[in-house]
Amino acid sequence: MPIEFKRNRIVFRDVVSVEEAETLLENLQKKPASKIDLFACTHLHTANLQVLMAARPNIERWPENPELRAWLEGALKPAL
Amino acid sequence: MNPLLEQFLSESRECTQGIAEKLMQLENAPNDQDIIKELFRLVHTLKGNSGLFTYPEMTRVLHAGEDLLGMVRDGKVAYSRKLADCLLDAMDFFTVLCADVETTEKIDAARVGDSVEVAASLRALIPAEPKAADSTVSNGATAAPAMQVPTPLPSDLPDSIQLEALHHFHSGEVPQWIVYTPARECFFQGDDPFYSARQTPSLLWGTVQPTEALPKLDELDTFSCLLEFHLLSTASPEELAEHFRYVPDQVKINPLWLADPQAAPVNDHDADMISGGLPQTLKTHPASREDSAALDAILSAQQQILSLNDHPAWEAGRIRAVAAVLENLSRNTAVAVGDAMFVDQLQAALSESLALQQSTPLLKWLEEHKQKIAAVDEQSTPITVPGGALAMLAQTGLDTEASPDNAAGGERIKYGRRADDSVKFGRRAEDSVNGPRSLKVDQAKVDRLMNLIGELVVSKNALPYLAQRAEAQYGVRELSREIKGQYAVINRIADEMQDAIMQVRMMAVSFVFQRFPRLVRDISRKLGKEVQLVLEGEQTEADKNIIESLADPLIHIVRNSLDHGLETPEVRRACGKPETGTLTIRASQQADRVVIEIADDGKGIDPAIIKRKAYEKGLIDEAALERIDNREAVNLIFAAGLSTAATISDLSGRGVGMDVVRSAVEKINGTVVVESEVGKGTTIRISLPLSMAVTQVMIVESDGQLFGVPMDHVVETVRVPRKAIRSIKQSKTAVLRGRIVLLKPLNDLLGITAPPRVNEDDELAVLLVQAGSGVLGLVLDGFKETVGIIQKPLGGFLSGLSAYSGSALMGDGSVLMILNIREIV
Repeated sequence: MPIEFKRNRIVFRDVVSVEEAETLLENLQKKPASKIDLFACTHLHTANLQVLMAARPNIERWPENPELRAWLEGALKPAL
Repeated sequence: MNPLLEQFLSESRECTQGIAEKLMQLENAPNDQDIIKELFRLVHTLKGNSGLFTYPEMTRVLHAGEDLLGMVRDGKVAYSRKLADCLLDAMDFFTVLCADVETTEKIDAARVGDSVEVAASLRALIPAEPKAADSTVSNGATAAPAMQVPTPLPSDLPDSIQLEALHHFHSGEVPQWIVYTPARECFFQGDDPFYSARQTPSLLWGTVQPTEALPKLDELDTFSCLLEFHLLSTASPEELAEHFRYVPDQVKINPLWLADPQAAPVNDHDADMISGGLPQTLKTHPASREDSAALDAILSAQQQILSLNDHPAWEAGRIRAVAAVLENLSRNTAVAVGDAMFVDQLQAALSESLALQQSTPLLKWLEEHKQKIAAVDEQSTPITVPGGALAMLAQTGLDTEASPDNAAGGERIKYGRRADDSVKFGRRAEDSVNGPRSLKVDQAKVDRLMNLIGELVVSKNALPYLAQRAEAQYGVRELSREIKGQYAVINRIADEMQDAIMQVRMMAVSFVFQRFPRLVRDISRKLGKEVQLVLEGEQTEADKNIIESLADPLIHIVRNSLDHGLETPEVRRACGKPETGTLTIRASQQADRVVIEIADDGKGIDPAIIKRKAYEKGLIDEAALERIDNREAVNLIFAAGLSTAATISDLSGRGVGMDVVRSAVEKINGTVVVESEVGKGTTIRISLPLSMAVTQVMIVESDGQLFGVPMDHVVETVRVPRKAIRSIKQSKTAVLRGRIVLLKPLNDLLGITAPPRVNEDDELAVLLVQAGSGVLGLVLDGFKETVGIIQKPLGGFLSGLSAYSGSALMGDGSVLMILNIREIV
C-alpha cells in the first residue's frame, strides 16, 4: 500500500495514486489531528495534494526527494 | 505507417472534401437541414476517428467544429458566411495536420497553439451558454494564449529564484511564466496535473495554490480539481507547448519581459513584500557608463525616428511605438522625481502627435526631457516600481503597440499574433495537394468491366473453332496454325485481365470478421457465458459481393453457436471442459473456393433430437427417420421450420435461423454443411466461390443436346451397368459405394421422351449430384468437358423457366443452358 493509516499517523510511500484520495479524505475527516509522514513518498496525485491542502494537517516528516519537498512545502507550510 | 492510420488519412481526405462540398452547397441553400445534418455527421465521424490516435490537436479542432455544427443543426446558431469561412479554415488546418501526419506520422508541437486558436475561433461563433456546464468547453471558448494578460507574479517568489530568473534573462534565455489551471473534472480524464507540473521541462520554480478558498474538509469533493499551478521555466515556448499539448486550453504561457533588466531584487526585503499587493522596493544597480551610453543611444534613436520626414501610412503606429519606449524609459524618472505630470505630458504630446499626424509635438517633448531621463538613470536613486515588481515587468515583447488608454496601466499584452489577425491555413487552388493513392470507383463501373471481360473471354474462345474451320473447311493449315498462335496470346492477356479485374473486386474477409469480437462479447455477456473468440485467416480474399452476402449468415451462425452450442461455465466445468468456451472462425482459400469454418467446442448437436424434431414437424417421414445417418441428421438443422431450442429467446429459436443461412449461402452458389459430435462441439463449414463471375460447369449430353451442370453440385461421374439398376416401387435405384442412390433420367425430368442411351458395354452414364442434403443420380447420355462460363440470367419469356438457372454463350457461338439441379429433382 502506498499509503498506510496508523493510529494517529498517515504514512505515504512511493507514488500515491488518485484512488487513495477518497480514503485519505475520509481518514482525515475522522482524525483531523493525524500526522503526516511523507518521507518515502516520491509523488502523490493532485487529488491527494488537494486533500492535504484543504486539511492542513501536521506534517511530521517532509519527503526525502528535495524537489517534491520544495513543492509540498510551498503548498502545505502554514502561511507566515 | 500502420494500416489503421493509412485508412484514417484516406477517409479524412474524403471527409474533408465532403465537408467542403457541403459547405459550398450550404451557401446556396443555407436552411437545408439535410445538408447540415450531413455536415454534422461528417465532422462527427472525423472527430471520432481522430480520437483513435494521439493527435489532440486534430480532435480539439474537430470537436469545436462538431459543437458548432451541432448548434447550427439545432437551430441555435444561424448559418452565416463567416461560419462557413471559419469551418473551411478549420478544415484547411485539419488538412495541414493530416499532411503532417502523412509525412512524419506526428504533429509538430508548434501546431498546438494554432489548433487552440482555430478551435477558439470556431467556439467564438457559439453563443455563450447561460450556465457553463462544462468548464473545459467554456475555457476553450474563451481562453487562447494569444489573448492572455500575464498574471501578477505571486509575491512569495523566493529571492534566489528571482535572481536566477534574472540571470537567465541576462544570458539570453527568456524565462516563461506558466499558469496552469487544470479543468475541474480533469481527474476523470486521467490527468495528474501535479505530475505534469513537476515534469515541466527546465522548471525553475513552481507553486500550487487553490483557485478559490478550498472548502472545509467535510465538504471537499476529492474528485474536483480546485488547484492552480504557477510555474517558471526556462524551456522554450515550443517545448512547453509540447509538454502541455493535451491541455493547451488550461495553460497560459507568457515569456517574462523585464522592462528594466538592470533591476535586481534587494536582499533585505521585509515582511511588506511577502504580504503582497504592496509596492515592492527594488534597487537598481548604479548605472554603469555602458548603460548610460546605451540609454543615450536609445533616446537619440527615438529622436531620429521622430525627425523622419517621410510620413508613411504607418506613421501613427510609429509614433505610438516611440511613445511606448519613451514611457517605459521615463517611468523610472517620473517615480523618482515624483512628477506625475511627467508622464501626463508625454501622453498629451502623443495624443497631439497622433491628432496632427505629425511627430513634432512628441519630438519637442523628447528634446525637453531627454536630459532629465538620462540624468535620473545616472544617479543610483532607489526606485520604487509599482505592483509586484517582476510581474509588472513580465510583459511580452512582441507587441509594443501602446495606445494612450492602456499605456498607464501596463500594456495589454499579446503574445504572438494579435487577436484580430485570424490564422489562415488557406490552401489555394494552385497549391499542389498530395493526390490520394487509392481510387474510389463506383461498383457499376467495375461490374461493366467484368461484363466486358466476360464477353472477351467468350469471343476469344471462338478462335479455336475458327482455326479448326480454316483447316477442315478451307484446307489452309498455315492459317489455322497462325490463328492458334494468336489465340494463345489473346488467351494469356485475357486471363491476366480477368484476374486483374477480379483483384479489384476482391476484399478481405476481415471486413466481415471485424464485427465479431464485439458481437461475441455482447452476446456472451448477455448469456452469462465465457467465450474466447479466435479469428483466423482474416486476410483471405474473395469477391466483394460474396463477402458482403456472407455477413448475415455468419452472424446467424455465430449467434446460434453462442446460444445453443456453448454451455454456461458451470455446465462446462461439470463436463470437465475449460470454463471458457472457444469459438473459432477460420477462413481459408481452397483452390477456387473460400472456406469459412465456424467451430465451437460446445455441447454439439444430438442427431436423435434433430431427427425427432424433424419428424414432429413433418420435415421427414418415418422411413427417412430410420434411414438417415447422423451426419445427414445434423444437416437437417438447415431445413426450414426446425428449431431445436426448447424456448424461444430473443437470440434464436424461431426456426428461421439456419434455413435463412442456407438460402443466403446457396444464393451465392455456396454450400453449407455442419459436422457435430455430441459433447465435443459443432463445426459449420461454408464453402463459397471466390468470385461469382465465372462459374465452372460440367457439360453433359442428353438426347443430343448439351446442358451445363454447375460443378458445385457434381459429386462424381460413374458408369452403371444396366443390370445393376434395381427398381424399388416406381423408382430406379442403384447401389453405389455401399449406398442406395435414387436414379432419375434427365430426359424424364426435362420432359424429353427419348430413353437414356447406353454405351457399347451396356452401361448408363450417371452423374451423381448433390441435391439438398442428399445425393441423387442423373442418368444421361454422356459427359463432356468442364468449362468456365459467364452465366447470364434468362430474360424475357425464358425467365419463367425454373429448370434452368441461366445460360451461357459458348466459344462456337452456341448457347449452353445451365440446369438448376435443385429445381428439377
